[in-house]
Amino acid sequence: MVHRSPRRRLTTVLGVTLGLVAVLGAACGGGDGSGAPGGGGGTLKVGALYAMTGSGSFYGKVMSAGSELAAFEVNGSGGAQNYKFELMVEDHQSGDADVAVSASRKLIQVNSVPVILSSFTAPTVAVQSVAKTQGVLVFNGGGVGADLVGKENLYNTRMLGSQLMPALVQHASKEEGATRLATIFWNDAAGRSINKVTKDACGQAGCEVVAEEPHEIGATNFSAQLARIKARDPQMLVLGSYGNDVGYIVQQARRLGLNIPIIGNEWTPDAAKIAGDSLEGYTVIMDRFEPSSDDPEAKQFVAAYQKKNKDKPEFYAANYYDLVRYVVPDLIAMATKAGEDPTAKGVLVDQMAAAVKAKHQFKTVYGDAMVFSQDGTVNKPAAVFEVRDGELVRTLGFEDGQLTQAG
Amino acid sequence: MELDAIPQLVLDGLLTGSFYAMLAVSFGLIFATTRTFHFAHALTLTAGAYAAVVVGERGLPFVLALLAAGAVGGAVGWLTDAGLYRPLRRRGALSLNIFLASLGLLIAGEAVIQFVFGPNSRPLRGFTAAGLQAGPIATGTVQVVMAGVSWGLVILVACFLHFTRYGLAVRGVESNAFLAEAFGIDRGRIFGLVFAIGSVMAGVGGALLALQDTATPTMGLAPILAAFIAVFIGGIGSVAGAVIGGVLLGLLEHLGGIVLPGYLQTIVAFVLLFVVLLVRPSGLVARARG
Repeated sequence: MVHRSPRRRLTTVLGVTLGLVAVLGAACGGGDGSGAPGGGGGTLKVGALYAMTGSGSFYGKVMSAGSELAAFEVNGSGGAQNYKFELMVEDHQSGDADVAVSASRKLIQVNSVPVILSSFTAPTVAVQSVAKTQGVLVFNGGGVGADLVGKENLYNTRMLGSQLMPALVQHASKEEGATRLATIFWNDAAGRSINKVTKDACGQAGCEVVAEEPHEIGATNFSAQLARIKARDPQMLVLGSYGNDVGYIVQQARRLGLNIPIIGNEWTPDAAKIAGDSLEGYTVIMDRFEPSSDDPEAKQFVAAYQKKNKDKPEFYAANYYDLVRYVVPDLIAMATKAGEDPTAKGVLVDQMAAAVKAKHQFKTVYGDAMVFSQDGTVNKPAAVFEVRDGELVRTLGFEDGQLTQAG
Repeated sequence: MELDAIPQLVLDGLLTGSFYAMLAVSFGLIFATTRTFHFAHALTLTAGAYAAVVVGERGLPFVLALLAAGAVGGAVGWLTDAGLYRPLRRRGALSLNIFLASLGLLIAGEAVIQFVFGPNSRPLRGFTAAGLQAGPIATGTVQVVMAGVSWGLVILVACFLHFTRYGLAVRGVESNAFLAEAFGIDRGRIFGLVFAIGSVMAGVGGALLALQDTATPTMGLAPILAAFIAVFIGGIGSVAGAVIGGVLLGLLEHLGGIVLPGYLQTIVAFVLLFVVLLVRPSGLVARARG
């Protein structure tokens, strides 16, 4: 006779329950999304990992708003090749890689998503390693770290800091005659990669980085870092920080009397609110999404977004809208044309690889097409903006790694 | 070592320390009197900040925003005691149970604030900030106002505790609650009073913080954690101790920047706490207890 301890019985019950959930999940996942190969239609679940809570919840709000609007429009027009999107949003709590991995396992194993839209560098890199073993495609439209480059199954629809910042650092230091630069940056992969490319670019331009100050993500008090930067008497400050941190840094730098040019890779309406008038003159290089654009797709997107969310969209919302509105539907179309089921694991991954190889031009609301490289980076419109009278004014364009006239 | 930065770091440390001191007095008053680890004090601070923001957004003067923050903070604190802690105490709940209830209230309260006001930052309008420069050091009018209001509240509370009958009753309960009850002091009423006073201070603190930065649903935890550390550094049950703990914490956090990278600044607070707990466990300004 076998006696089982209560703990062991509990383990058995849990094991059986989990097994049933897995079997049912797999069955439902297949049944849900698997129309007949070749465009039978059904539901295609799109996983989304955003910063829904925590210091970066602004991003979660706008990214989910952009992707939800796109899913709504796709579904309203009959679906992508008859596949209706079901957006499954999970929270990585503003950059927690462990939380992101747990959430991605749920998305992959329980919800059977064939594609995940991720955000932030650390969570995306962590999720990519899980996704690649499961044949799940990962897109990032928000993170900027150099670690996001050259990862299997991972494609970025945001121009990364390493692509954009060198040109701005060299241009700005030359324009301002600045030979002594200081950097302040997120103490993570994204911030450190900005610091590195800034130092490299500065070295090439013949200037020197005299102070390097990493800081905690989501910090609000930068007085110690800025006091040390001020003591080194730099002629320009380069930010490798994101989100609200940009607003706090600029505001506190001005308060300390650091009246030098400040350049960076991030601007958000929230950071602008925090910095207020201090942000005047701040120069930023980033994806060139302009809500006032005359492009018909952009106009339609801006109008629909504003109607639903009151605020004007910014490039984060646009990037995630693009993914659900144009990128994933194109991949589904390619899969169905090839007679494959886009909800099956690995199919969208293969189609994306084929699209990259063929230099497929994906539509965007940026008024131009975007093309992905083999290393997962994207080429799309980007530009340099300056804050003037509280508004972002485009001052220069960006093409093939070089700054161009604004046009 | 960045010795040139010392004057600036000292000024910033004193200004931040003044704010910490005020929050430490508010947290310490509640903790020393009621022995309640009121973690939800962070929620009170946040509620005060949002009250000020709402008033500021209606174009009303900054002083009204501060008053609203104090009123809402006081109400939230008093209600927390009356609606949550008092019933738990009546049922003989342990300190740990009360602490967990407080933590739960904080988490739930932040979620409610995020639901009502959204996750985005909300600036406090109605005050025109300006920079102030004196030789190599600089600050802003906002930081000076923060320090001024903080010191004003600390002095008011100190006067209340030492020169009024109710203040004497608070000190009596804090010193020996059972003996104070034997002399006819209503312990429950005194608990309610210190929750209200401490929470008014936290509410005003929230408004000041929203003025300096912005209001966010999770803004309360970091400053209240600093206040908690300051109370233990200075010594529980002493206004002077809380003030010294707060100012010392602010100063050392900033001066730590001379040798430590900025992202390690928070270590300074805990190192200071460990050192004080090891060398002088009752705090720097320990009160003799009879």
